[in-house]
Amino acid sequence: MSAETSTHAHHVDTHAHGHDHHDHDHHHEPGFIRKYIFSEDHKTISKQFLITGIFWAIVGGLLSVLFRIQLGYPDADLTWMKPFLGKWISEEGQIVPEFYNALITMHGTILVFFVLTAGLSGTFSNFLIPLMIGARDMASGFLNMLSYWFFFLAGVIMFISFFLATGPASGGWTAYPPLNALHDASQGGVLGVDFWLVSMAVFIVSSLLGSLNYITTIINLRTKGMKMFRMPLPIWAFLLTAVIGVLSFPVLLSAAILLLFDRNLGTSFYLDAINLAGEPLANAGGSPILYQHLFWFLGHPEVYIIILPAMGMVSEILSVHSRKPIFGYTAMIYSLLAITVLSFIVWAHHMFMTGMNPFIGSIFVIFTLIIAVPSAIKVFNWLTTLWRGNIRLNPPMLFAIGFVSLFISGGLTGIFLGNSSIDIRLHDTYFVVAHFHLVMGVAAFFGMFAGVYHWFPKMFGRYMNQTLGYIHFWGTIAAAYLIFFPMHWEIALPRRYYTHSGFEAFSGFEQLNMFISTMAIISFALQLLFVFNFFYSIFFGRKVREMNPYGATTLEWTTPIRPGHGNWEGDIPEVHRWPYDYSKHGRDFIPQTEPLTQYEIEHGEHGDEHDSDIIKSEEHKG
Amino acid sequence: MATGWLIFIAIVLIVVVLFQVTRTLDLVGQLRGGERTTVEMTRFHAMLGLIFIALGMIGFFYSFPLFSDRMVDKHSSNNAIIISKMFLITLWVTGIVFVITNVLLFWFAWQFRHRPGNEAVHFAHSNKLEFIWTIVPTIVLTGLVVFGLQAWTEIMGPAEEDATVVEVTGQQFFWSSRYPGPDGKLGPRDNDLICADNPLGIVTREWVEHRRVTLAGSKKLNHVGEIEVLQNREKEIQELIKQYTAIIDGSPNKYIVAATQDTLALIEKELGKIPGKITIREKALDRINKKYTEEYIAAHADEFTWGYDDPMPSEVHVPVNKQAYLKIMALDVLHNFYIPHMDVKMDAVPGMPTSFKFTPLITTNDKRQELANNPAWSIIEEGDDKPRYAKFNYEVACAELCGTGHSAMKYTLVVDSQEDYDKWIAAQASKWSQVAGSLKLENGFSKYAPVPAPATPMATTTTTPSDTITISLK
Ligand code: HEM
Ligand SMILES: [Cu+2]
Ligand SMILES: [Cu+2]
Repeated sequence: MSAETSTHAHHVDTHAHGHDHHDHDHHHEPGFIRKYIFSEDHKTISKQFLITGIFWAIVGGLLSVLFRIQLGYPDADLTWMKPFLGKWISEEGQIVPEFYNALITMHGTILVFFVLTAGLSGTFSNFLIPLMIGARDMASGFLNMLSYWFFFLAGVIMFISFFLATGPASGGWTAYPPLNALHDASQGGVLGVDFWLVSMAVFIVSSLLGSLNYITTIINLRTKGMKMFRMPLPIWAFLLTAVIGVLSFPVLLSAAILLLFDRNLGTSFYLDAINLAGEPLANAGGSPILYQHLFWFLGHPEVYIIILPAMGMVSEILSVHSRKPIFGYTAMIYSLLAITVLSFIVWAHHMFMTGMNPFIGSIFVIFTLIIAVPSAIKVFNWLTTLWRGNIRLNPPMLFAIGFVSLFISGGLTGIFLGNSSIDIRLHDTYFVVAHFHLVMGVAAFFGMFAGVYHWFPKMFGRYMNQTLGYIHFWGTIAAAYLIFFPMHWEIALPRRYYTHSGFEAFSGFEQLNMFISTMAIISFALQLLFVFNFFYSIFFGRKVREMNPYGATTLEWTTPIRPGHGNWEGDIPEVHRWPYDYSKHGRDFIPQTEPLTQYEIEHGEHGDEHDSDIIKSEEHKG
Repeated sequence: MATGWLIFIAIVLIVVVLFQVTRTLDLVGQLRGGERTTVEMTRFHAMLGLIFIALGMIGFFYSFPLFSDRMVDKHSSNNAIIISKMFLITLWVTGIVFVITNVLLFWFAWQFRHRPGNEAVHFAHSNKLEFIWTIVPTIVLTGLVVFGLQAWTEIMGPAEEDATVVEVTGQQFFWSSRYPGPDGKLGPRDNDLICADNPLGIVTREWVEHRRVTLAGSKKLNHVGEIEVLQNREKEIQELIKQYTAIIDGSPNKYIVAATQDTLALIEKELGKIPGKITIREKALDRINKKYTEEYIAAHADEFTWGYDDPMPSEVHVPVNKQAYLKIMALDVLHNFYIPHMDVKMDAVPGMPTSFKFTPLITTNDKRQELANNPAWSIIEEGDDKPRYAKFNYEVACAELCGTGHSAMKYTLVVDSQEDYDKWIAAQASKWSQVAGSLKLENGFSKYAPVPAPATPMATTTTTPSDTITISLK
């Protein structure tokens, strides 16, 4: 597919045109509100997403500290929390079961949707797409702004639900009916679930506005010469993430709306033959399993919505700091495409144990294990990118390497889960929890950290404190592994259990749980180090003095150190080559803006012998 | 308190000092020149990477055996054996990849670190390599899929004809079970027939009649039906509302007013729900009357007797070495019938019966003997008279979040030798035939409850519909 389509999309944003975009003293400087609050500048919106994401990450992290205390230190006396948490702490100073369920529900929801979807995609798609493809801003700055404010609103609604007398939703982040369809089956079901559903609906609007904007921008606003196959890998990842989002989030929206109907209008989409504590219900004819199909039709693609941006950024960062082209650029793109397509046909692997026809289960086993192939290709390509590189280990690079390690460790357990027969043993146990936290939770966080440390200089014109970054990295990767690796041993333990103490079969894990909880608390504390470093460095970090501090080839480093609205001061630069010409022809790097020399063959045009000069360099050395 | 503050201040100070140190380190690094610092830092952290991965791998190989019996060494049922085998194969395959890739990752970071004299190589792709690592995983995964699907079909395939059939039902927050009884047939169920005395809604002539009376009431039996109880309550509440409103309007004491307002809100809420509850019951009654006509009962005379002899014991028993076939139901929300030792796990879905089969291979008694050899199980815990192993039982849990009591849905599975099982089921059958007999007294109607229960108020179903039968039998 040669992407001639790109070329002249030389869109010039009206209010950016022709002006001098120096730092602060711009004579068209918008007022404070337009600049920092209702801004339409993609860079500001990206920072809004990031900071809101950090807020939610702290909230979600705190919730996990609370329920880990219950799991690891069930006898701890929490009476001192009573002033804040009221009736959610029992007279004996313990977290009450209903609150425990609310904690895990909100933790999952917040981290999956608010932090790793909005916080991650919202931040980096917004920040990097225009800068890397050479556009002055997003296709629609206004929709972009709306996208953020819908996200904000979704957050407000979710936040309010914490203060309901009957508490927030408590039926799991997956919100399965009938538990979540009935008002009387749990306390969170009284009102919390309604807030949860409305918040999710608003969130989906935000996500759709964002995604449509990212897609349009990438398709239409690439600078001259930026063919599709010259785009840096993060852009490919953002594009496909947005495509997945646009195709799958509407399905969740329908699922949520039908659930709202079942809850409040007496419909029976998901309900049949229910007798709740002796009280017969009128609902008939629906199917709880239908909801699960709809949910996971989004739910599985959602995990890739979370991980693809991280994959893209990690590919970029590994390449830049290895001073080597990313290995197998086209394979990387095609594997992303394969993952995108496959992610839509594996959803029922979350439902092997629902009584689904075993034959259908088999089909999903096959697709599920196929998806491991493109994942494996990516891992091997990342490894080969490091091979014979000239690796600088700064915090972003370490986090990128950490990402690869976590993605491997967590991805491999997917191969157990995807095989339905083994999943009989593993379904709804802590093994699954370990799997998805490594492969998605922590890995995506590492991608995000790598991105923040790497592009912070571009975002704020200052550096983050390196030493703190190093401590943050080693502390976090050690804690993450110490939390989630031993968790695989808890294969017998069912998840979402307030306590396992009632069962002989689940005994013997008390010390392990205590260990895990301790590590979780330590790792939470370590993240505050990052938060501090982040905010401190925005104001007091060492100033950036070079335009291109890493020696990177991509366009964002051709903008002024603190780019204004419109990004480039003069014309937008033109692109002449792919973004991974590192250590080529004896040069450390060749920017994308540099025209090909007369005899130079562009990467990917004529097969591998031509563009890989490994052979030449071998001779050179010998 | 004071020490608390001291500690707090100390921590803050330490953090501040540490932070200053990191700042200084950064600054010194800059002053000495970026390049030299980068080289040194890279070396240091690449070294840390090697240490990290070495310790990590040691930790992995050290801790695995500590828990491996929990992970793969399951052999109490055929499912457990099949799955353990699959698990072990997958563990080897993924374990090898895990070690190799993770070690390479950190080793590359060390080996190819930036240092004087090291140069990166422009190696952008190689069709050969990429072909290899597309094709090898594909082959390996195909192998796993093939084995996996064989195991899957074996476990999920149709049950044997002579399997022991047990019906289990989940509801917030307990399990109950039912056996076919001597006739070998489970009586049909109907949710419309569920009431406190017939918690599973079993269909027999008597239960149909019983439900008619508990819904509509009966003058002859001097019983007020649920519908009427609700209507009375409706009137009562309307009366109360008038009284409370009068109090609120008239009382000078604001505390009394506030308290009354609260109660008022509560009963108003209750009132709001009553019409719905009445309609549901009227419709149920209507369905019952329409469906269970004398002609219908005559046409299905057989089926109507199946339910008489179904034992509903308080734990599940199955004979060893014989396939057990579980019919799994739920009454309210999703549950999941989970027997950890047997690798049995299947959702219980309201409105959609599911099933699962397994063949237990070790009786509860043999399992106890097996555990007796294990030091951790031989201890006698405080306040106990028997060692741990003697109290061992296969447990059933719930593996699908079902609400506040999810982690308390414990049930027991007993695997008997064939003789023990035969004895047990015979005893159950005779117990339950008495129940059936008492049911059939008085021309198909024995008061309301099949056993002399302490007059259960039929009114606003506040009691859990569970134990009327089981408890009174003990
Ligand atoms: C090698 C590829 C992978 C395979 C074969 C795989 C397979 C599975 C399966 C079968 C389950 C369901 C387990 C159960 O509930 O019984 C599962 C759960 C999960 N996986 Fe994966 N997975 C893979 C990679 C990933 C990736 C890349 C992510 C995210 C980035 C991910 C995120 C999750 C999440 C979030 C859950 C749990 C959802 C929940 O129940 O709350 N997985 N995985
Ligand atoms: Cu999935
Ligand atoms: Cu449950």
